[in-house]
Amino acid sequence: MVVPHVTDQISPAIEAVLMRFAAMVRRVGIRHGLSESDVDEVFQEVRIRLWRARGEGANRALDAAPAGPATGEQISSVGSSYLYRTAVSAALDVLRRHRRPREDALEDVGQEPAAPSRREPEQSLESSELAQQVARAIDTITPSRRPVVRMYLAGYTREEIASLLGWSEAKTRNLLYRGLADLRERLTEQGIGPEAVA
Amino acid sequence: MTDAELQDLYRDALAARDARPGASCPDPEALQALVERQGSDDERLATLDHAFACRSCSRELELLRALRAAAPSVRRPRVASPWLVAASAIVAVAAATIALRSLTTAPNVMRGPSAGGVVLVKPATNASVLAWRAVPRAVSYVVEVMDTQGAVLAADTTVDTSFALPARLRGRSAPHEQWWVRARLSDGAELQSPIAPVGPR
Repeated sequence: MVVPHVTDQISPAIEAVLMRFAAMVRRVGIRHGLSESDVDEVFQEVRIRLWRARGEGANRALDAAPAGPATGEQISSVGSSYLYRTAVSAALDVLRRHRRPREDALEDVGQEPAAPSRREPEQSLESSELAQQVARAIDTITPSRRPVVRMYLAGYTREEIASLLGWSEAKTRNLLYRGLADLRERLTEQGIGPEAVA
Repeated sequence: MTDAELQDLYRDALAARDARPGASCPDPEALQALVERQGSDDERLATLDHAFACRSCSRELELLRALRAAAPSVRRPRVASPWLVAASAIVAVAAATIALRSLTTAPNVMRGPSAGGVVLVKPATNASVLAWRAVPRAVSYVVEVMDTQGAVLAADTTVDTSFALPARLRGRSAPHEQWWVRARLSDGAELQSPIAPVGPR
């Protein structure tokens, strides 16, 4: 897809805030594998929308900041909610676009390959089977505990899990402990003990 | 198997899955509703369960989550209204009153999550043995001692109602270590205790 570059067609003040916003999104997301290209695509879409909205006066509040160095305070006081909604709307459109059936196979080149295993080649088949057994065991955990376990094993902290679910830290910890206990029990039932990955 | 090993294996399992969205993937709007904490707990748990078992959805969710976390001065919707806060305070005061009264009469035990749960006996200071009350129809008990991350430090399956702490866990100050017991019944059902602190030892 050809995306027009409109950076110099929105005000420097808004561009500076957008850049800061995008940098923050990268910092937050990079820990869990969010790619820079995903973030860049969304923010280019945001720029296009802001540029289009200029003529309609929709982002007048955003653009009301005086010329000169942009400040986060200006944007947060007049238009952070608008900016966030625009970014979310742009992101949803980008995601929907990615989900459409591809017209040709070449676009699939951008698809990320499977992460290479860190183990030695002779161990990879065995560890792959073990990984699948772990995944299958997780599928059998009580539904209320399962998503918490998945998030934790995907590398999210208890605080992040609690924040996303709107739960207290204590509730999150409780369900996580029990979910992990369930998982270990299922694995033990399958004969997979602590020595399995030694 | 340690938490880190489980995490490695889970990531390997996810990496082997197809990265393209499938027919069962929730709409992007459902992922956004999760980020905004909208919808019922059940709906959000179902979406989350899929999202973190699916490479495509987890990547999409992370994008939306990062946008939310990084948004300048955008506040989450308030969950608690002033009335709810006031009601919570009243309930808390009432609960504290009941708890204080029960301290004078209650035995030194921690009740299970329900009337039929496993009842833990509160460990004495410097205790080397953890004990719990026998459960009718129990054929075995699983006892686990965990650290703050939920990693199991010691575990045992026993027909007894006590567990001797391993020497490496005795005589040290680890106030955040916790334990719990699950009873397996003769009909295959399972009862659980609450998770409780092991206490100083």
